[in-house]
This record gives sequence, structure tokens and C-alpha cells, in this order.
Amino acid sequence: MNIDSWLTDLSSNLNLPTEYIEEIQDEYRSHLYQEGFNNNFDKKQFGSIYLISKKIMKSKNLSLVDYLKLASTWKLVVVILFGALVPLYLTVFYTIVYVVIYGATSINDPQNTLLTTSGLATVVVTAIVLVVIIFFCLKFTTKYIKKHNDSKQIDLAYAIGFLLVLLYMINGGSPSGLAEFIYTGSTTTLLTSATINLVAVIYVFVAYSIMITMSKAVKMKGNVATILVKALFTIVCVSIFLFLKDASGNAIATNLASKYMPSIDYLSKNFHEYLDHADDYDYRNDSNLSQYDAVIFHHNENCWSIDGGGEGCEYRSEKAYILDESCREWGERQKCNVLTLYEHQDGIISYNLTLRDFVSCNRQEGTHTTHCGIINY
Amino acid sequence: MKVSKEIKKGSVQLLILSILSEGEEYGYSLSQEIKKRSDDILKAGDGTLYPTLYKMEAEKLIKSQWNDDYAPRRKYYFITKKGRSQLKQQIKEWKSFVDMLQKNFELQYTT
Repeated sequence: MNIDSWLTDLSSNLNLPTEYIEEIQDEYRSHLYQEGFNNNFDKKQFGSIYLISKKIMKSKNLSLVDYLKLASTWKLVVVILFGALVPLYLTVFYTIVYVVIYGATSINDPQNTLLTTSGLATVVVTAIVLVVIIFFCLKFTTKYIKKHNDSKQIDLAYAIGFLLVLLYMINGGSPSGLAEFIYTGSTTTLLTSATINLVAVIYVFVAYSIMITMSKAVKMKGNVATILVKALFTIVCVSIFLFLKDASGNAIATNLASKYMPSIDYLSKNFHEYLDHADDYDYRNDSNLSQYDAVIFHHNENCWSIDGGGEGCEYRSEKAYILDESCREWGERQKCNVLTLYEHQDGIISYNLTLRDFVSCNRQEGTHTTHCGIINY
Repeated sequence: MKVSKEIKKGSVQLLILSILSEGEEYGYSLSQEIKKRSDDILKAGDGTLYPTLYKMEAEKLIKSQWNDDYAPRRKYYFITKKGRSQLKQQIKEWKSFVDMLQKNFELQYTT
């Protein structure tokens, strides 16, 4: 019997922290070494590696820290997050589709595009991809659960997964928070967020340990703490799916429009000031706006984007800006990025980024200004 | 003689506690002692003896300590206070269990 290869086989079957495996190996090595002098030693009688490893796993009373040391716990967390963060893949997927298939290089409005035939096709393809992702997630998780058969580890992975999802939601204020954060987050935001996350994670782990200890102390039947964590996790996942469309939409728009973000911020903050300007205001010579990348040119107080009429406008006011320099030249232009700022009835300012098919501009000789409009075919 | 798994399961732990109550032992010597004392009935997997020891250690019935004076090093096991009271309790239970069985068998044979 080759002791070393037997020990290697045994350790590969053990899902335990390294220090435990090393001790177990030493103990079995000592035993097998002495059996080596025994002529009557029967390898079969020693037992199968599979059976021994199963029994060892069952006998070890692992602590929370031990579970956190295991690579398999974190693999499970990744699998759980992989399933829970499906909206994020949709965001990335949508972005790729818009950039690669539709040729949108800067801004698009996923909500408007969804209404078109090509948008519908995107949704169908996305749905298929989503089903495939979920299928593989489930297959992978089931494989892991079968291999390790450790309900405590799975519960812990669910708890960590749930907390991470919750934290990222709290961070961004919405499920799309993380996507926005990845594409537009500054270093300061990153550090602040990382610190908050770190403190929150430590707090949550301590709270989780106390929860487990308390549940053991009062000998709760069915482990109420675990059931609670699982129930909350399910609710969070369902809510993410409910916000799926908005989450993807916001994140894609933000992702594609990141270079316009400073202008959007500035315009939103000074919305009322620019709303008061007359139609012929020369925005290009505005010192406040010229420092930003986006050139603001056209504005229209009518709700022209809603069936081309001002009546029945659902916003208190609206202003539209053509962002592409080439679209502000004389004549008709195609595929122009338009930023629209809305002031809602409750005073909240929101923006919409749209890829408009046709924009027409005319130069007025007397005032030396250019007036542009959206052509609705 | 063959003994069913169910009977072996409870008796291995009792025998380990009994052996350790007489002094410290390491894994291999413990396995040899179990075989000797059980007339080879309980040679139940030398390989699976260790999980039983780990479980008993987790339950604080026994303690262990590595001895590096040997190559390969050996892990010695000791009985704890809790282990001793458990041994007493288990012996009591076994005795009354065996008594109960004996009475029943005697009754069966006499009827």
C-alpha cells in the first residue's frame, strides 16, 4: 500500500480547513506506518476512502471561522450571488447588444428601444440567456450541495450572499446601484463605499455569530435564524427581479452616458435657471456650460416628445438638448443623442437619454443662432 | 462471530472510554487494544476509528495531544471528566439493557 497516495486521495475528499487536513493526514500516516510492520494487515479491512472521508466530515464540529476559511463556502457564495445578481448580467448584456448590434456608441434609451421590433428581439434573446444562466447556476449549486452535503455551509453561504446583495442594494439605493457604481463611481465614492461595506460586513458577521450562538443556546427547533435568513434572501431576490427592467435601463443608460454625467448633473441642478432662458439663448457661449463635455443647444418648452404635442404633458416642464456636435449642423441628421430633462409634478428632476432617428437644424442669419427640432416620421 | 452494525456502533465508543480510563493511548495502539478486548469482534474499520475519536473529542469526552518524540508523530488521547461520567452512565445503561435482554431470552427459553 502506498501510504502517500492513499493520504493524497483521502485529503482530496475532505472539505475541511488545511490545518485539520494536515493533522488528519499525520494521524493516518502514523497508523499506516505501524500497520506496515503487521504482516496480517488487510487493506480492505481498513475501510474505503470515501466512507472514511464521509465519517471524518460528519465528525468534525466546524466553527463559523472554519467555514469562512473554506474555499468551497466562497464558491457557494459566488454561485448564489451569480444567481441573485442576474439583473447585472442583463445590464452588461444589454450594453453589449446596444453597442455591438445597434451601433450605439454613446447613449441610448432602453425603455424606448424595448418598444421597437429590434428591442423585442433583444428581450427574447435576453430571456433565453437568462434561462441558460439560471439553469447552469442551479446545476452547479446542486452539484456542490451533493458533494459536500453540509447544510450548515450552505446556510452560511446563503446568509453571506443575502447580506452582500442587501449591502450593494443599500449602497446604490437601487438594484442598479452597483452597475452605476462600477461605471461611474469615483475613487472617493469607491473608498467610502468600501469602508461602509467593510464595517457593515464585520457588523453582520458578528450579528450572525450571535444569532447562531443564541439559537444554539435556546435550542431552537428547525433553526429559526436560518429560516429567517433564507426567507429574507428570497424576498430580496424576488424584489430584484421585479425591478429588473428599471434596473437594467438605468444602469445601461448610465453606463453608456457616463461621459455626459457631469453635464447632466449640472443641468439638473440648474434646471430652473435654463428653463427661464429665451428660445434664442446661445448656450454655446455660456461659460457655465462650455466647461462640460456635452454641448447644450436646443431647448423646447413644449412636451414635443410625447405624441408631438404640448397638451396633456405629464411633466411640469421639459427641456431637450442635442448632444452630438455633428447633429447641430445645418440640415437633417440621423441617429442623434438627445438628453431630455423633466421636471415632474412633485418637483423632482429626472433625465432621459434617447437616440433619435432624425434631427433637423436651421441657421437663422439675423441672430446667428441655430434652431433644431426632432422630426417624428 | 459477526455482530450487526447497530450493536457495534454504541459499543465502540464505550470500549474506547473504558480503555482510555486506564491510561492514555494513541490511535494505532487503541485500535489494537479494541481488537484484543473484543476478541476481534470489534475490528470495525481501523480507518473509521478516527472519525469516532474526532466526534468524541468534539463532544469533549476525550482530549488529544501530539507527541513529536516519534516519527511519524503520534496523537495521544486522554479521557476527560465528562468522559468518565459518561462511561459510568453508559456502563449502567448497558448493564440494565443486557439484564432486560437476558430476562426476555430466559422467559422465551422456559416457555
